[in-house]
Amino acid sequence: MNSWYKKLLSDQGEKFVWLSAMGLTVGIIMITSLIVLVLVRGLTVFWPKDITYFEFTADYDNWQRGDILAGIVADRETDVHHSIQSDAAADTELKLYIANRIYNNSQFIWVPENAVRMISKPDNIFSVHTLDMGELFVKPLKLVYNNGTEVLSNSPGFQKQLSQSLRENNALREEISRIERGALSRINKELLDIQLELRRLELDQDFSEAEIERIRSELSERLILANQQNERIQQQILELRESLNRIRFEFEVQHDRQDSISLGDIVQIYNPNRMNPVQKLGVFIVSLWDFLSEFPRAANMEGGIFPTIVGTFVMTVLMSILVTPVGVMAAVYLHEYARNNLFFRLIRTSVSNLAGVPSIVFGVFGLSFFVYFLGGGIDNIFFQDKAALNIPTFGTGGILWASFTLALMTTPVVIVATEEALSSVPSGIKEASAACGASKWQTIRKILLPAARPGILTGLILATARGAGEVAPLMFVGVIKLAPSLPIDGEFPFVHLDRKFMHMGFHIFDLAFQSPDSEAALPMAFATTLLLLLLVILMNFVAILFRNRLRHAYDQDTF
Amino acid sequence: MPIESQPIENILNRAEDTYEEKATQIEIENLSFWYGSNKVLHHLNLSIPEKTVTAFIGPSGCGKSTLLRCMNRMNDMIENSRYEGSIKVMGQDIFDPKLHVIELRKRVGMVFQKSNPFPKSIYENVIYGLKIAGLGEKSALDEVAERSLRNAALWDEVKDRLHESAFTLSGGQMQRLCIARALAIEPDIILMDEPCSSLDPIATANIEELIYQLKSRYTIIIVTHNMQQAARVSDKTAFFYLGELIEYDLTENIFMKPKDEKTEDYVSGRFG
Repeated sequence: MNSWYKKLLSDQGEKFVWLSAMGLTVGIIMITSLIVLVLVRGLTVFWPKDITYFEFTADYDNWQRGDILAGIVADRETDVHHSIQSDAAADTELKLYIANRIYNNSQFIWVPENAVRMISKPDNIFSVHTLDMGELFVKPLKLVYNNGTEVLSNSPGFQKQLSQSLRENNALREEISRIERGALSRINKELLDIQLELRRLELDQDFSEAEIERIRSELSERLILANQQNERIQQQILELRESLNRIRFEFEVQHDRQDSISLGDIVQIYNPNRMNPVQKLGVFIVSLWDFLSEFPRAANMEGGIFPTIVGTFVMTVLMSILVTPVGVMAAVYLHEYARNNLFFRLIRTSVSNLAGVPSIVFGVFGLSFFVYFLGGGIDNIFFQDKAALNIPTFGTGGILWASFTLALMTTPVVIVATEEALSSVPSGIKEASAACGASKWQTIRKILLPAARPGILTGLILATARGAGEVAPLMFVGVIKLAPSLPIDGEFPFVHLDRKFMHMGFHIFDLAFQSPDSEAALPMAFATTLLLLLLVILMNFVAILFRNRLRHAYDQDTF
Repeated sequence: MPIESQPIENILNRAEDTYEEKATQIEIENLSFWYGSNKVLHHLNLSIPEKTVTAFIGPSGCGKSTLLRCMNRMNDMIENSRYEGSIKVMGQDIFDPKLHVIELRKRVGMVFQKSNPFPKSIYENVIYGLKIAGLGEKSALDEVAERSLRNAALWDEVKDRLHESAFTLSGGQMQRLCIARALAIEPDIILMDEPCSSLDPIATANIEELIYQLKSRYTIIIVTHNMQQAARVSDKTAFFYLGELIEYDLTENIFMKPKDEKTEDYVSGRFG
């Protein structure tokens, strides 16, 4: 009676093609939807959208019937109740993006669909991107100069004046940040040095009174000099800031309220309703470029993610440099020298299992071993004076220890892949090498490793992909929310392994869960996700190209 | 008439070289060999003269390849292998712990059953042994590469593409490349483990011709399954059966008037 399924299972037909094709289809659908979701939500962040006026047709929350609100529809849901229950509450609700964070509690509101109606897309509403007040939807009134001159928004020169002033301001801001990163950080370093010298003087018993006196006076001279310089630079920055604030921008927001901000606080102004698609594309490209190339502002919710790109990239490269020799050498020993006995079988199994250990475990290990034990030890030996002032150098999380931790985490992947690659080298050429009078090590170095290189690179690609996307262990060993400086910069010694750094994976987590307004930060989180994906894909792509070039160098078809 | 179907007496070693006994170069005394607990060679005694071609024949699993691989200690690479007895190469016991196996392998070159060029260029393949030994001078390497390739009768075919991958060569060319690689380190003895088993008849004829050319300068030991080949190229032949040396004599005698019944059965194709 159950013969029909026996028949099905034993049939010669190709029924199982469908089963396996289904598996593939599900996989493709999942991957495609992931990529489409991230692409769409990540890229639309930068596309300027038209701003609409909504009129309240009923009293709702603290809005009254007849109130007019500028906003963009961000979402529409039925059968859910995000909004405050009221008489007007309906089954369908709109999520409106209304910007103006400083005037409202949130940049988003949920309203019942039947409480509002779209009335128009006004010509004179502008989207204003500020330095740290988020985006504003405003009706511009006029520009007011320090000397009292005014340019009204309906005067013909307004647009031109506005964009020119913004360009000038951008240049000024760059100048300020250049000074802050350059001269100011040099002076801070000098001040710290003087402090350290003083401390050393206190600790060291070898100096005579006279010498101590002499050094002390030298140091105080240096201190005075540094303070003078500091003051001068601060003054310079102040002046620059003043000229940045020379123009005020007056505008009108909802409820006919008037306000003004300094033009120096504004990054970008545009009027989406009056732009054609080409102009919108221009704004899109500028915004995208700013996102890629700028430092974050306003609790990471504004600005760009440049430091996270640098941090992720440098950490991944460092990790690859650390993991490759260790992993490859370990695999060479296991494959070529280790005997096939219980001990080495046990080790091999452990290595494979290590690849499955949760990454957070490596984070904890990294913190206790690399940071506290190794880093603390290094500080006690090489940075005694700083350690005495309770300033850790390597005894705190940093990009070096993060790379070490991830290298440790990905070593098993490299070992397993390398062993497999070594096994796939035909034994014939090993014997041929030995017959030519090569020692075992010569055979490994000249024949085995070169022949196994594509396979080793595959392992490295896997390790890199895993390491670049890892977040959990990094939180223990050096990733922070906002790093004041990059791990690589123009300051000697150019690569600063002791510095804390920002990481894209952690940045996504930070934006989505730890920012003051997580709903507003979510688009940024998606944009960062997209970039993390792109970075990982790009690094893998380069590695794969490299591997293919190696493969083609000597075609191994005959094996 | 095709070579393969000619009667043995027609293809026996060329009539013009009448073999005269030469000095012994390899002396095998009471050699036994085990893979794990499996004894594959039983108390072998054999002396191989210099500058001759000696063929090892016998059915599969008779130990002829194992014996060949003992002579340059290739079996060292196999775990759990064990031997008793001695092999003297030019008077030197090769199992002497004081002897450096690398020195031995420079004296005793080897060509394998399956051609196994390195995944490198043709040129790099030939000079590999010299580079390993630390010779780095470009002109010297070039000279050796040319000489070895000429000796392996490959020079004319590859001289314009020395820096192409070795895998662009045909099967027969690859095997001659492996011979050139063995010649480059200037050994005294060349061991050949069924060098023609995966080649077509023309490539086989080329290699055989090459062996004939080389025997004035090198001692060649060749393991073969092909009776005609043994008859064509070798001066002396050893017949092995189940790990024992049954008969060892001039090739002519082995094929025309074998003393042992088993040898006669084997060479006449009744078993094996």
